[in-house]
Amino acid sequence: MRVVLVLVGLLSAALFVAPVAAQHPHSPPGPEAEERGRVFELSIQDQKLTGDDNVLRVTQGETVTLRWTSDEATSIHLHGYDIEKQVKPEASVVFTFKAHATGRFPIAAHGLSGPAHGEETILLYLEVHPQ
Amino acid sequence: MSKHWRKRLVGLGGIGATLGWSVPAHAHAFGQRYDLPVPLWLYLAGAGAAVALSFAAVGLFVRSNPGLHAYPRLNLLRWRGGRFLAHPFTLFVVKLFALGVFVLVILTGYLGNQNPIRNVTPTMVWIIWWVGLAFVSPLLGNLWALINPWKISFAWAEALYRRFRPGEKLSAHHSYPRWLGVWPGVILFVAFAWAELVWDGSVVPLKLSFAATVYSLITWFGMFLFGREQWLRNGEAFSVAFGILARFAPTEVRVRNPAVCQTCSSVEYGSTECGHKDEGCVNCYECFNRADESDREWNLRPPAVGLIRDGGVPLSMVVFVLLVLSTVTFDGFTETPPWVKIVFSFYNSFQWMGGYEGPLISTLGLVGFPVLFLGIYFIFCALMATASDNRLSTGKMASLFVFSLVPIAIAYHLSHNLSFLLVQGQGIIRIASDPFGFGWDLLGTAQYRINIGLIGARFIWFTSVIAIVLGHIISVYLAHVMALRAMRERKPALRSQYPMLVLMVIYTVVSLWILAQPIVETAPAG
Repeated sequence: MRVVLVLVGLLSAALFVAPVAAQHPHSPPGPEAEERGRVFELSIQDQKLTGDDNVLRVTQGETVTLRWTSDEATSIHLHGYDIEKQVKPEASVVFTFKAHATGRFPIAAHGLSGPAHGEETILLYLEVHPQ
Repeated sequence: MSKHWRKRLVGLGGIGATLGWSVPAHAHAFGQRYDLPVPLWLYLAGAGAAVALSFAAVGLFVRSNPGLHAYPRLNLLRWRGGRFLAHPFTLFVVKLFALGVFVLVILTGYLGNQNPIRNVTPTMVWIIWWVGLAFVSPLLGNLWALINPWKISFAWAEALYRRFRPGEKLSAHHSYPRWLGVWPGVILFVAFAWAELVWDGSVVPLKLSFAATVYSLITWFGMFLFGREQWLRNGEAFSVAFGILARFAPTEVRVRNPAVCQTCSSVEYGSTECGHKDEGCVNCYECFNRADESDREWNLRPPAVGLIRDGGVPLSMVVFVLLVLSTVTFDGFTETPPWVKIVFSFYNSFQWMGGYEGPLISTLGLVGFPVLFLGIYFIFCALMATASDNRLSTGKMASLFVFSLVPIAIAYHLSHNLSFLLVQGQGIIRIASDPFGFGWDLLGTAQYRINIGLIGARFIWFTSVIAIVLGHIISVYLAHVMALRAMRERKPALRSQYPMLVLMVIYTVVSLWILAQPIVETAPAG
């Protein structure tokens, strides 16, 4: 009983203290003009992503580049990292950022034509795994 | 938290392409979770540890003496700091603040910007209040009993009424029927769970405020009809729910003098909550408020001892506890790929719903889960009755042991919501400066951006798995203690615990399994 109680006490304390101790510095996104690090080519056709892979897996600390092409104009939003850019059929768009925070982040398109018009469509997930 | 119904399914080309459905514009950013699934090896290690430690724990407990009648307590009122916190003026300030926040959150919903991430109402209700209090209640104590705005407002209205009509009470003086138990709380909690997990209005500030208004009227009316404390004990779903979680907490309020309990309304109506014989009465706020200052204690105590009880609870309470447990599990389950498959496979059968297929399937799940939990629980209680040579009936087993499952649920709930509270909860820093979403900057924090790197995945994984394994051991221990106290004889008591152990291992492994699933952002709907 005592041991259990002590463990529970420690855990409760950890729940409150550790998040503060575990803070990561917030690193700014890298320069966007040049493509660096892991590069992913992503293409939107007929209101969805081509290919079967729904999850991009990267490691924390990597520089990640997502190069987008699309057959229609839409706005692409990486949640969490909160990067949002317009992509047009004639002009591809590039997201370059340092994957500083771990997690599983949805990437959505906003304003695609078709039945989902005016809404957000989740295209895929970015998973940033710890080192 | 709340699921936002995706208006339409785009490219329903088989489950392989599970992505590609849509979210109502700008609702998406509210309540999103960024958790990475717990890796397979850690999930297996956690599950293995739960099983192995169960046996170790049982082996250990066979020789232990589980007499917990007088657990160690430390009265915080003996210190100046404790007395300051419990001083009527401090409490008055806290209550006034709580009531102020409540009124503000209702008003912002009605009058403010209707974008869910620019209005304070959804964040305050779903993240800070619901998830936040579900952390505070088991880890610190029953804060809700202090800051409940319906309780505060009604108590102040009562005081005002007494001033104008001395000797009279603001109540219709109906006695609370004993058979009603916590059934009103059960019904209201089902409604709440539906609003949380199914209702697409849950993130719309105006609709949320309206729902809160309706609930307020029900609560005030219930308190007027049956008396404040009676309704809080039986009908106010959150007082019941947070009260159950707070039984785990390392703090309690206690009245030393048992004489106070003799006139407590809970004793009058046959509740077993109040009046612990010679021990005084624990966490009965009615008695605590009426007791002399010298009879009051505000104690630190070992965690989870509040869940141990000698008598059983009424059937309505068994149902309430299992309802809370199943809702917590269902919340996590709806974000897993298997749930998405279920929704997909039923989707076409419900086409006649004309656009409401998704909410219908979720509603069925929400109702089906508690029924499933109850069924499984009673089957295991029947096994326990058999294993104990029928020392106790199935029903008695069910009413006795239901609280012992609570630590597993608490541990799962904390794991599921840890990063949600700490990451999405940061939203409150920004919105506090602009609660109505009118573009104000009252506190200078309107530009605050959520730091998604506040806690790392590895920290969350280990905390979650350790918490769940610990919760499991505590549950096993509690059930063991209760069995020995209820059955006196060791052998049947121990034998009764083997089915319970199996049930707890299943529950723990299911909880871990959900954490090991990738969060699928959505479920399709009409």
